Formats: sequence, C-alpha cells, structure tokens
Amino acid sequence: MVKVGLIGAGFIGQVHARSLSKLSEASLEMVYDINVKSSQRIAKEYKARVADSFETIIKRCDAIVLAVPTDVRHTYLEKAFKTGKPILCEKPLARTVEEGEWILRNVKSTHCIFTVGHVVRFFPEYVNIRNQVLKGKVGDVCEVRSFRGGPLPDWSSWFKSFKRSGGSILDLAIHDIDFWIWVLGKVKKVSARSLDRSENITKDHCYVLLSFENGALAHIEATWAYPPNSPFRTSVELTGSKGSISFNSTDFSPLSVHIEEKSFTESPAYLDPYAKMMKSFVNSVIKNSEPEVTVEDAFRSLEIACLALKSAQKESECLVEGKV
Amino acid sequence: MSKMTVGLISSAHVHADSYVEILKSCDAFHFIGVWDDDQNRGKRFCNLHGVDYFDRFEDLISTCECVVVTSENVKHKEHIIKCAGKVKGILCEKPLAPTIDDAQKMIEVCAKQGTNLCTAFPVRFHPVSKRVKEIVVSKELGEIKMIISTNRGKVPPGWFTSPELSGGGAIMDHVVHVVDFLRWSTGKEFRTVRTSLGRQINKGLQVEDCAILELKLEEIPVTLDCSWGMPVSYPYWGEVKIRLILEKGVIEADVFSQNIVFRSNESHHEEWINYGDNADEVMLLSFADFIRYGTDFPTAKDGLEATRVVEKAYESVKLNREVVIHGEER
Repeated sequence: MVKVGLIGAGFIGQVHARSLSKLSEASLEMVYDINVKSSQRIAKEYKARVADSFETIIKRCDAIVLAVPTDVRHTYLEKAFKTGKPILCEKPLARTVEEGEWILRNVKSTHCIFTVGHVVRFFPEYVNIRNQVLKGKVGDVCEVRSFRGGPLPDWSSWFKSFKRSGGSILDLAIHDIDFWIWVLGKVKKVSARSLDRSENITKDHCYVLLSFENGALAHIEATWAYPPNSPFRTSVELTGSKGSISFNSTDFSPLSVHIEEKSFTESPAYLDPYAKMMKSFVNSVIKNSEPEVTVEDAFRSLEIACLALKSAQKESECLVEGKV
Repeated sequence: MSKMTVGLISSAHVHADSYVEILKSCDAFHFIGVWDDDQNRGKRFCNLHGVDYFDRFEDLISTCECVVVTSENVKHKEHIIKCAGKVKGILCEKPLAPTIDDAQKMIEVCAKQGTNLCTAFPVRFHPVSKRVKEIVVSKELGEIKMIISTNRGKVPPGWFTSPELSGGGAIMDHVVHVVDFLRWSTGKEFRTVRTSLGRQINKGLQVEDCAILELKLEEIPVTLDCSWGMPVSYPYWGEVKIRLILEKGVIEADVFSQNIVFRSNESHHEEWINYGDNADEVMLLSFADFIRYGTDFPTAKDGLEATRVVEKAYESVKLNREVVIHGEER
C-alpha cells in the first residue's frame, strides 16, 4: 500500500484525493494546505490526517502529490527533492522555463520518480484519437484543431493573476500543446495571441498555432471567456490524407440525469481519467519504473507554452530553439 | 494466479470475433482454441484471429476448464448439453435459447452434471448501466413511473435472418438485452407483453424486423423498440438507449455513445469509433471471477427469464393481444 501525502487541498487537490480513494493499491495518508480549513475538509471526507506542515508530509509519506498554484512549487519541491521521494506534480510543470529547467535538473540528479498531471493523456477519447493516428487510420495528419474551456475558474483567485497562472495559454492550452506533441512530435514554430495578461484577468481567450517538423499544423484554442455557469467543453478536429476524426464533448451524452436544480451529465467509466493518471503514478512507484508522463515530456510542453506566451506578448511568430 | 483455460464452441455469432480477441489477450484466460460444426467457417475464423482450430470436439473440451458458446440460437441446446459435465462453466451467447422449453432443458442438464451455465448479457457490464442502476437503487429520484427504451440496429448478416437457425428476427435478437438490463437494475419481473409489428423495413426477409413491445415491469409501463431499422449508412452498429421517468426526475442513458467520429475519403458515410470501456471485456473477466470465486454474474435463470419475455412477445403477435409473462391472467 503506497501512502500518499497531498500538498494543496484546493479544487484539483480534492480531485486527487477522490482518485486515491478509488485505488486499492494506494491511500491518502495526510493532507496539507496553507488554508487549514481546506485540508480539514478533505481529511474528513477521505479519512486522512491533517499534517501540521508540508515537511511532515515529505518526511512521513511514501509519495507526494503536489497540487499548489503554478508559481509556488519551488519551495515545496526543494525539500521534496532532498528525500528523493516520488512526486506527482500538477501541470504545467512550472511558471517559467527557468523554473522548469531547475526541476528537470533536480529530477535527473536525484533520480526520483517524477510525473506531471497532463491528464488529457488519460482521457479515453484523446487516447483513442492518438491510437487511430498511430495505426494509420487517417493517413498523414495535415491539420488539427482543438478547443478547451468555458468560464473563468471561480474556485480560486490565483488563476486571475497572469504572473501566477500564465493565463489561458499556460493553464489551459498547455493540455492541448502537450497532447499534440504526444501525437505529432516536434514543434518547429509557434504563433499565439491572448486577450488578457493582466493581474486581474476577467476574461481570457487565446489561440496557439503550432507548426510541426513533420509539416502538420495545429490550431489550439483555449478560453476563459464564456459567461459563468457555461459548460466546460472540449473538441478536436483532425484532418489527415485519408480522412478526418472529430470529437466534441457535447455531441454525445452517455448519461444525463435531470433533477430539479441539480441536473448533470456524465461519461461513466470504470476509472475516470484522473484516477487512471493516479493509478499510473502509483504503479510506477510500486514498480520503481519510469512514469508514463516523464519530466522531459512536461518540460517540452512547458517550453512550447512559454514560447506561445512570448509570441503573444511580442505579437510575432517564434521559432523553437531560438532560431528567431 | 494461473490462467483459466477456455475454448470457443462455434464461430457462428458475430460476437465471437470480439470475444476471441479478448480471451486470447487478457490475463484471466488461456485461450485453447475453437471447434465449429461448420469446419470451413471455423478454420476461416481461426486464420483471421490467429488461434487454433480443433477438428474434434472432444480434443478441445478435454483441455478446457470453461467454454464460450457462440453458435446459432437454435443450436445452443445441442452444444450446451454436449459440454455439460465436461467443464466447470459455460458462457452461452444470448438469447440463452429461442424457446422456454430449450432453456429449461439446458438448465436441467447442466444442473445435473454440475456445470455452471451463464448467459452473455454484456449491457449490464457497461459503466453507463452500472451508474443507472446505482442512481435507481439509491432512490434519490424516487420510484420509476415509466420506461422508454430502444435497442435498434442494422440487419445482422447470415443465419440471423434464417428462422430455422435463429428462431426469429429482431425480437429474438434484440429484446433480451434491455429486458435483462431492466430486471437487473430494478430487481423487478415482467408481468405482461403486447407486441406490435410494423411494416417490414428490409424487403424479402423471412423474419420480422420492425417491432415495438409494450411491457409491464410489475406496475411500470415500458416500451421497447427492437427493430433492425438502422440504414446501412448509419455510423455505428446500433444503439441501446433507455429513458427512465421517475417521481423526481428523468434519467437518460445512451449506453454505447462514447464515440469519436471518423470520416473517410473512401466512403460516403461516417463511422463512429467507441472509446468507452469495453463491456464484452468486463463481462468475460467477470465470468472468470464467477467461476473462481462465485461472484455475481448473469445466470441461466436470467437467460431463461429473458427468453420467457421473447417467447411471450411472439405469442402476443400470434394471438394479437396482451400476453401474461408472470402472474395470473386478468
């Protein structure tokens, strides 16, 4: 049984706690958050203990899930790296390429098991799309478009600070950047625009245009521009030489339940994508094997996302590896 | 844990292709091979799937702890009786049998010979079905007041449309899935059925292809459309959709709808590719658990009850009136 400690008891921390509760091979041992009430709530719901400090978690647990805001990972990671314990770090890997490089260096020198929460790689629709491409169903992939988003997150205020979250490009579009790199390989050029890079984002929308070395183009759209209570949606359109593949999260509804004031829709699975990701992490801890999503993968995606930020700031195209 | 040895009896049913791919690659089973009363068909099937063909039934059955029977509906009885006493468990393709008499005889022989006879009802193993049952059982939405369901599809190939091998058309092929799902998720039995046949959709078939059943699941009115009405260009094999009207709300399930859409340059219609959990796989793994640990699995009794609804549905066509399934004539 892998005893997992959770640092960060916000929105995504809660999701990770729920995932752990679904696995028989791991348990949530302790929770820490700078907001004691948040950690108490999760600890109560999932029968874990509240840790008095994050150092206690690092000391006592077998593995660490780090679900704190993007810009403050450094402090926690510095101490965690000293123990060499396995870490699942939320995405994006870091707020800047420099911070990302620091993490990459430390993972390599400590040889710790380190994975990043690029959960889209565990969504069955995305996995299936990738498999169709790999087995040649659509031929050569020429152009892809993807969409992700809905309203501005209302569960925490740090998203609204561009300095902290990196806005819709670094927090949201990074999912699709990572996915398309996973499918299509190396990126050659990046061009992006975004609406709001202020310290008080009220609505943001971005596009990130990637040119891949294999010739494919990817148009990625991510948004926090929809009115509150709009649904979160994702879609993919992929055009290849032999045909196309599309997916839209609102096209099919496997299960919808209509109850007064609390209707909901669901796409049931034996293990939801977050639980699958946690299972994959726990497996690599048990087997002491390389995680499915490596620190290099996450770093590559971070580099491209940061290049997109630069492109949006400069309002010009950026070549990968400084060939500008 | 050692793998359980398993063989396939007949490759007649379209589901055999899905089953064999799972059986030969999953951790729970060691796939031995296939026997088929149609040697050519069996050999073709084995070539396609890269598995062994057995000329002699005895050679296969003597090395198997359990078998999956996917022969034509009317041959289930012969094949099940042939296997009874020689293996621990038999998973029989649905419908268990085309008639109540056949089903009862199969159950009797297997019970006497100490072989566990089960029915392949994959729908209840789909995670969408599990969630629907969870919500129903929680009573959060109160009692069920009405159920509207469809299990429509395309006309299946080959023997499915020969009454002497299938025992019937769309009613025989499709009714049992939703019937089993509703018995399992509500714990209730069907009381009555009235069948209405529509105009034949596919000309020249010797079996019915357009039918709607009105049922009573205890007091709950249910309709079930089992037609083979999906056109050739429909992007998927068909659908299982269930709408439950409850006291405090409505549940809508579209069981096989976790799809991405593929459009080819070589074909004029789109294709849906399912990315949901594979219900066949969950069913087969659960069958292994049932044989090993006696965990919950659809038994021959569940197969018999579904067959009872089918036989009564045909009786309703013949008599042109509502027919009692369980309980007293009114």
